[in-house]
Amino acid sequence: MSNQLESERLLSPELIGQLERMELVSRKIFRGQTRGERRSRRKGQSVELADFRYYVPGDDPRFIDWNSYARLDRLFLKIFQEEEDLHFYCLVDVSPSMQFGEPSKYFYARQLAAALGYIGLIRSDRVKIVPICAEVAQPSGVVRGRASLWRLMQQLRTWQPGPAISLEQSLRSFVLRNTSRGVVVVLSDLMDRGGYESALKYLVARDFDIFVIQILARAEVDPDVAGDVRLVDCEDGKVTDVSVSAWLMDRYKQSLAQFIRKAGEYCGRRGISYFMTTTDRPIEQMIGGYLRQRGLVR
Amino acid sequence: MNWLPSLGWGAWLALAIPPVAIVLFYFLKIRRQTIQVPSTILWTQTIEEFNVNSLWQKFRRQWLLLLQLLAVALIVLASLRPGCRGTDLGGNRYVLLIDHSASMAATDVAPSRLDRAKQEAERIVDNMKPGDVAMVISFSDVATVEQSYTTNKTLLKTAIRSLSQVDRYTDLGEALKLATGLSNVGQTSDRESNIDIQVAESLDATAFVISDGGFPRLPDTLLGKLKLEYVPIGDPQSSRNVGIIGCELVTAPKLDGPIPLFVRIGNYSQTAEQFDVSVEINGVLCDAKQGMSLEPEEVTTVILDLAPFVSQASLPAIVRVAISPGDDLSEDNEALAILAPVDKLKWLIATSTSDLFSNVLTTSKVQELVDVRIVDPVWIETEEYGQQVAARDFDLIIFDQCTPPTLPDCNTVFFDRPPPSSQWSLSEPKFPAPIVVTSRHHPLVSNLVWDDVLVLEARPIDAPVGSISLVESTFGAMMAIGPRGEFEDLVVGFPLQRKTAAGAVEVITNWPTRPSFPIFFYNLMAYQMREGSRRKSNSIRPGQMVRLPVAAGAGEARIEQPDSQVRVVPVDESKEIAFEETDQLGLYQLIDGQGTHPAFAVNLTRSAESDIRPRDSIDVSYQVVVGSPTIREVQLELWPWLVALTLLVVGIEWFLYLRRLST
Repeated sequence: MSNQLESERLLSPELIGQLERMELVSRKIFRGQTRGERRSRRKGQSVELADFRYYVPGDDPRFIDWNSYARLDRLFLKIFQEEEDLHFYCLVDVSPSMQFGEPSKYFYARQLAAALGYIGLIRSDRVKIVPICAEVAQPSGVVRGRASLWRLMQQLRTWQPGPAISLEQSLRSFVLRNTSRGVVVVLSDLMDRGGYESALKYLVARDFDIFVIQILARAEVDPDVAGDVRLVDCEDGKVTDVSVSAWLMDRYKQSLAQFIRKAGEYCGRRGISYFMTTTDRPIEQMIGGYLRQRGLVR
Repeated sequence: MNWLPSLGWGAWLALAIPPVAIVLFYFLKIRRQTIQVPSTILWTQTIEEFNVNSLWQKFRRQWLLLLQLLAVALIVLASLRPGCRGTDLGGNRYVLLIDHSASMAATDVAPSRLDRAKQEAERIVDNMKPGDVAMVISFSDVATVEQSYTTNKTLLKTAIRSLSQVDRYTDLGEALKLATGLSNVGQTSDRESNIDIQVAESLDATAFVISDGGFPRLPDTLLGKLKLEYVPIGDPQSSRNVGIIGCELVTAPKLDGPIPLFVRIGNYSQTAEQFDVSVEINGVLCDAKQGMSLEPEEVTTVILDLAPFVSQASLPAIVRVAISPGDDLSEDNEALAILAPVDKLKWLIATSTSDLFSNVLTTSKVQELVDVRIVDPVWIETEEYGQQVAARDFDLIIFDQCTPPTLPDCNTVFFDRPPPSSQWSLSEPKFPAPIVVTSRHHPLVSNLVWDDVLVLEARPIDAPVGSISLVESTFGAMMAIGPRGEFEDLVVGFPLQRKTAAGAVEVITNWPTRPSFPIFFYNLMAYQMREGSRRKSNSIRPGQMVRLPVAAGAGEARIEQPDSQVRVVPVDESKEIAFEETDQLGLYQLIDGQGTHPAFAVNLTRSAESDIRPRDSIDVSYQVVVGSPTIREVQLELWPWLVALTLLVVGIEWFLYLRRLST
């Protein structure tokens, strides 16, 4: 399946209609560089009243609620909801291992990235889609506003992954280049021989609001191999000879379950939201149901 | 367990290659399929866990290898031809021929030979393999199917145990006819029904002859697919028997002379035996010979004169001969005879040369025994002749150069004429030289000397089948005797004298002037008396059918058997009864309208039955079958089981392999 065809289907009209009503949610308070359409947890100067408090000297007298003073003969200060923009980083694993699956994990990750980026753009967030785990000739830049949607899509379509690099190296490079805090969504299969733990530490250290979505192909969850086979790792070419039996298959599934459980535990202890999905889960269900329930969007 | 290695070193080397090759091929994984996967991290983890597991887990992984090695090991083991000791009967279809004749009553093996035979038969049945079929046939001089082919051992054993002793002679031929019938398609083993049932396929069968072997050779028996095995019963070292093998009482119409009793006794023990002989008449001890001795296989004849102990009033008398002491076979230690008056013979001679016959038949001694009537040949054409012949007034009619219209119901002698039957014919006269007596054992020509007899011309005799040629010349028989129902016809191919048309006498032979002429007529008379006495059946063999005349007017007669059971027998048109239930040894009495009187006695007098020495071999169909142990110890081959097990292991390995592929 060509990238052209895949890119055309990254966002379907139905999905776009669904995304129009969503916004990204951050569990942490970040100071935006410009005022956005996002209600900040900080109180500010938007038109939406958030609360009242007693007036104390030094407060801006423009925000005194004179109606309340007339009724109660006491000075109350109106507190308005601050609206701000948000830094939204979507890190997409473009390593060769993501090319597997039907649809491929790479396509699925780009679909998710496009959908989340679209939500960010329509909410005037600062969206940056970053390829990781491989060198890419055309790195993406920060886009903002609905009008930048075509640029976002263009980035996702034109990525040409180069040689693979480790997840740790990718994330270290990311945190060095992106100092603004914000929401980080990592879309990867986490199948890095160096491990994902050391890589995620970089994000944790920079106090990002981190979401890790592990994308696996159905063939990885339920492998379709049998007999005496030689398994070749598509990234590093390492060879593993196995004689697949029912017992060995059970052991593999146990290993996978243990891998997922450990990733969940690791992320949970560090305030990272962790999801695991397979590529056969519809993207609409993933966005509208799963991620909404888990609090990434609302 | 023992081994029969049958392979050379090259073959063993070849056998050693497969296990090594299997291990090499298994671990080299030559046929491993290459698959590219997103990551081998999880697989590596899985295998690492696998590798650090226990040794048992390693074995679990190598199930296919282990099964392949096991299959090769089983093939190697099968090549060693392992075996163990076992028993085998040498087939899968068996016929048990069990002898229950009189000789099997011998007690040289306890409790008796028949019981030992039953034990042997049961042992054969016990050693039958599952699926083997067998049948049981008992035989004496007749054979009976006790149990048809079956795999049911209980039925076979029941049939064997139900066998009982009979006092009959032994003849394996009947039993072999039954047994061979089972080896030939289309024959039934069931003599009870006339329906020809296909009871078994035409397959090989093994017949176990369980007997002491005391029966004649059977050279002409066709065995077909039947294989004979002989199981000798009896102890050749310890069997001892002295038995009466012959008992003949010669009686005359008058009791003024001696009444000789001939008793033949044989010793069939391994050592010399001493015994006593005693004779009782009507239960009273009359005579005895004590301290007699016989060497092994020696036979002697004891002649006793009963005349001093018999009176006319005591007739008929029951004569019992016994020898003592007892031995292994008691059935032949006693013989019975009935001393009854003998009627005079009635002869009719139709001849035109009556002088020749009257010279030898008119002596006083002959006249005591025979009523001779000499008539002209013309008389036999009269109505009176026909009436007397129909009334059976004659025991013998001699037709000298004449022929009756039909053969009379009596014995006949024809001179120079064939009997009026298409079966007899005489050729043109020839000069016979030399003249030879060919059947010297026949009573009619015994003690005849023909060297001085000259015959000028004789007509060669063409006799029917079954006839015996008594005297022959270069061109063929000159004197022959042939059977005709219960009678016999004797034909002499030349006349004694011939009258020409002019009335002159032409001498054809000098036989009437030679000593052999009266001897011939004495033989004829003695032969007739013996046959007549035999027809009275006062001594018969076990199982022989007997015909007895009964009183006129009786519709039925009763026979009291030795065990006091009474059988009712209908009287046939000839005023005789036919009785065939003569299996028991002893005296049979006839009960008719005239009272109860001794009818006949059944004696075992036969040397073949008294000779109870078990034979080492039997001779059937020109094969000498040597007695051998019934059940052989054989090497039971285990390699077929190992091969089957190998196939099972390969099947399991294949199943596991396919299951692995499908998961």
